[in-house]
Amino acid sequence: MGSVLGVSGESTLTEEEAAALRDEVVAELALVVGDRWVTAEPAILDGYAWQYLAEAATGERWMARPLAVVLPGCTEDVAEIVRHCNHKGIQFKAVSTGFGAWGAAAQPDSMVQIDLRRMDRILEIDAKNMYAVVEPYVTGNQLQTEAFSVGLNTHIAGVGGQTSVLASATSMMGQGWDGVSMSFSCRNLLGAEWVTPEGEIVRIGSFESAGRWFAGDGPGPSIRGVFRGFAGALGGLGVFTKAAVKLYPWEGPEALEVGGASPYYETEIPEHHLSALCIVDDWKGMAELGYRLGDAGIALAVSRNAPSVMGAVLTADNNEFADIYEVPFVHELYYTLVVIIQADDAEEFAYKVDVLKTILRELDGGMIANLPAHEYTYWLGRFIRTLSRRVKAKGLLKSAPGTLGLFRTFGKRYGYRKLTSSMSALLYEAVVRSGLNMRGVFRFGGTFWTAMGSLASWDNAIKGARVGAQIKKRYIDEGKFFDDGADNAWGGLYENGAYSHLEELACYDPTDDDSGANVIGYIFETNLASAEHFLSLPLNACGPQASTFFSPLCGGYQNWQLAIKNTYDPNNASEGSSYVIPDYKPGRGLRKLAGNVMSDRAEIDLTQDDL
Amino acid sequence: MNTDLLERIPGVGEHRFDAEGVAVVAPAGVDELATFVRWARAERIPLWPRSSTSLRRSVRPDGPGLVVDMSGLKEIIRVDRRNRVTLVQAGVTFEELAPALEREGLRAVMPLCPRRGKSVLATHIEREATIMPAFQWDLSDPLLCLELVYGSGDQFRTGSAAGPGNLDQQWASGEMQKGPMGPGHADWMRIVQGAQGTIGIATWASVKAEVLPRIETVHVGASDTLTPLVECAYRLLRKNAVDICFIVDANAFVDLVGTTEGSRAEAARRTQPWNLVMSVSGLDYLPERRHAVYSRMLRDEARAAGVRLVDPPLGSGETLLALLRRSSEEPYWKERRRGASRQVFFQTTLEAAGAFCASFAVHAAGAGIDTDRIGTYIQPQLGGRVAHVELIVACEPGTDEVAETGRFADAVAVPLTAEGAFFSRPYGAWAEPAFEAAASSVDILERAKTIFDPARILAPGRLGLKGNPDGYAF
Repeated sequence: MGSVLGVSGESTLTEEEAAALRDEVVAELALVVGDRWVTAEPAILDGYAWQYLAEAATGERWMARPLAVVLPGCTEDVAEIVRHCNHKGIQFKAVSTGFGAWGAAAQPDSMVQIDLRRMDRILEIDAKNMYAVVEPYVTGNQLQTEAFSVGLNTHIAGVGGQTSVLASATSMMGQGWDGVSMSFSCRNLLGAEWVTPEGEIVRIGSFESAGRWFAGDGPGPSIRGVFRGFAGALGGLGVFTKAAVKLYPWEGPEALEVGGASPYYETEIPEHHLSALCIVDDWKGMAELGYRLGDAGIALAVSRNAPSVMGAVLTADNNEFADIYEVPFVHELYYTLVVIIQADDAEEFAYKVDVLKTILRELDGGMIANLPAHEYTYWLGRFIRTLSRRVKAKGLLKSAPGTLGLFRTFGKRYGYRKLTSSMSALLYEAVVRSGLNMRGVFRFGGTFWTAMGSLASWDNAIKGARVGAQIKKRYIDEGKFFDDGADNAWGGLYENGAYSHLEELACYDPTDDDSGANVIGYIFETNLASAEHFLSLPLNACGPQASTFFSPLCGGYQNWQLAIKNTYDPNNASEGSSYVIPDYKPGRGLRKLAGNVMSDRAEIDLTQDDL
Repeated sequence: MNTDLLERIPGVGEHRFDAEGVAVVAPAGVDELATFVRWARAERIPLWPRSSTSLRRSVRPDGPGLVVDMSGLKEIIRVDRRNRVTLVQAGVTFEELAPALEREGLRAVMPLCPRRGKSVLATHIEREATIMPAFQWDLSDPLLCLELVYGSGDQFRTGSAAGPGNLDQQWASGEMQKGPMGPGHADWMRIVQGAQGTIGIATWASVKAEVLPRIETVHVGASDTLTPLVECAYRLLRKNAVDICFIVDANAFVDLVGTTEGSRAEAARRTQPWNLVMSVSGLDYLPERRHAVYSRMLRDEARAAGVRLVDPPLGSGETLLALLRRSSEEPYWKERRRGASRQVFFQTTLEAAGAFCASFAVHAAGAGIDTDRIGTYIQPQLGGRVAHVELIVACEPGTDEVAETGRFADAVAVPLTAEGAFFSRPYGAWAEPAFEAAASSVDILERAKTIFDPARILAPGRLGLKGNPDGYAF
């Protein structure tokens, strides 16, 4: 397929030149950080080239090897490394916990990989004013664990609790299960320390003036706007070495009670917390449920998960998943939202749960939740009744043997006494700790990618999910993607429903030689449909390729992005293959692929209520 | 003003001279505005955008040039209850928007009793503090998307309003210009917000609105000192128990509620030294239950913090709520004490606000301003993480007091900044100490100015930004 990142994928240096440059760079950077913290050992470099989604970025399983890897210990080290790269005319790109091709080199021997893992401290938690200051290698779960201990919580991006808080807040997306109460990553940024592409250290927000990180905007215009839009610059506009992020109230214990053994953890749902899988009849019901939950402002988390991904999250391996997914009613659980509620005391909890019940009654829906036994049964009955309108009595009957099998499996594992609460507890753990996300998407085929997912109104997001599923179905029918039922839209509400997102996950086998082309085709086709159906900018509207397509449809924003890149990075030192490439021209491979997609596209029929 | 120049203005329907003799141009829409800005760029004519009809100091030109008056763009383009959003042109005021939203079951996110004629767009593009911190997720809120013309003369729409599709196509597809970020890898709205007109001129904005409660009651917590009120505000904001939430001292409270000599005297007798004003609401679902739960929390936390719940100094809770949902009656509440005022405002944390107020009083005393002339308004922002601290210094029009107060207000930013006050909206003379304390930002902003306003015609000199090196055509 060839590179789609807009660079050749070939080194511009001979082997001898590359070796000489590598030696030179290692020796010079060692003067900055010490011998121990810089290397060009091939095996180490390959560790940075082995990246998730490389097959889509390069057509191969690997990204390019960087020239060298350097591990700075502090901001001043980073600034010196960046200035050195500018001076040498080579590029750099930083990575913290790392997750994907965009953190790696697109072209061999062209850049220094700055690995920020030594900068791993939580510098401050201001419990009174509800913010934390973190270095790049602090993960969501680390920060959350410390925040819980002072009655606070943190937004964790959908990529999972194992990834960097700073990276998501400053540089990369930020959707998450908890957006309804804890917003979107970049909206939580209260300031940052930014090493610009030229190596200047800029402290954004109140910190430089006031010595505290309570505000991220000003004086005057917000510099956050320069480096962080919907997507972030994905490493293409300097390096972030500190970030202050908002924390949010946590009405739970200082630490969650977790039992069991890996991978069968059991999390105790705390008092005054509800974990509910809520069901309605169809997308119209989903739209109403989302809007009403947003208006009510009662939820800690609201998350839509399709049956396949939910099955994967609840199970530990694919055999177990198959047992669940073969039960007929399970793969009809399309119109569900996971709703987590927390409350300060019993009275507030009862009020919030009663609001949820009222909404579900209005929509003729049901729920499976950690409610007292008699209520559990009542709401389970409503859940089954709602589901039966879809699968009919015949479907329920066919599901009976499989359901009994599931009861046996889960009963043995979690104890029959806990059978009714085990699913709620698993969903609670998945959503609150964001700890099971990746087993929901990597396991089926070995990897996944995603599409659609604009930040828009809930109605628009639902429309996007329906369009995405219809496109993906053809890829499934042609054997390109794993059959997850086509509708595998994940997402939810943000800021009590102020905006929303639903992205269409696609699972596939990255060892398949055509997988890269398939997923790029999927990205292109869903991007095209997003434009045609006015679904705002999808999450794949990132990087030079997508910007070339979308910019003319959106006021020519790529011209302004280019101006920002050229203005703040005049030497093009900050590797921007997933952000902005100053002289980018779409490659022949990409043009051919686009032609193929254009000539043979899925038909979108939005008059269907569902698939 | 060179009238020949005015005659050469291309394609703009109206130009005139205002009461102060300043030439004013009023574009009728975005195309006309873009044509005009491109002309001004070519001619190197400084432009001073304004959208409000109330002539605050910050909307007056700081130098020669043309005022771009957007206040005639008065359309409320859309109110969408389902998505809790409104789209307003630049000249729409709060007294126009608030009732329009209420008719649809929504309430406007407002500053504390804004001046009549105050543009909604101008308020939010300047990041002014609003009175419902629980609904503020980002300091940019409630502003979402903008249609604007940069100083380059290029038109642009920010956030999800950028496209694909025009407004009609987006609305038909269920998209209501709610995504504030992007398009792409930058937040274009944020670069314009807080820029005091130095980057671009906006023609419309999409703005968050909130559900109009079925029940809402206002409560006043009182204390002889500020500290208990700060503690109470922290606790209640953390529990998301209150909608409206701000602190005023006795002077500011009297000015806020009292419009006549008699009512001000009565309010002065009844008001307490420090007051935490809060509201508790019941929304669409189980409104009485919600109201009861959070009212009980309010009482509990007030008691725990040592705050007395008292009646408003004038009228009832209902009348106070009605007052807080509207623009100020005339005279503007910040000018009722002596006929005029200068406000000094900055950001800090709630717990630090008291020390800054005390320090301000010392600086004021040094300038011969006694405490009777100072009103204090503390507005929690961002769910209580930030405090907007505003000291309102009254002065008497037509006397030396106005100039003296102005000099003091300009100068006091220096010691306050040194003490850690964050002048995030540095108007006029405040820009110098604000950017001295945030020196690493200066070059970033200068470069941004060059990108979006290459001839540096928009509000030259504001924020301390450099002007056109070749000068201007004035």
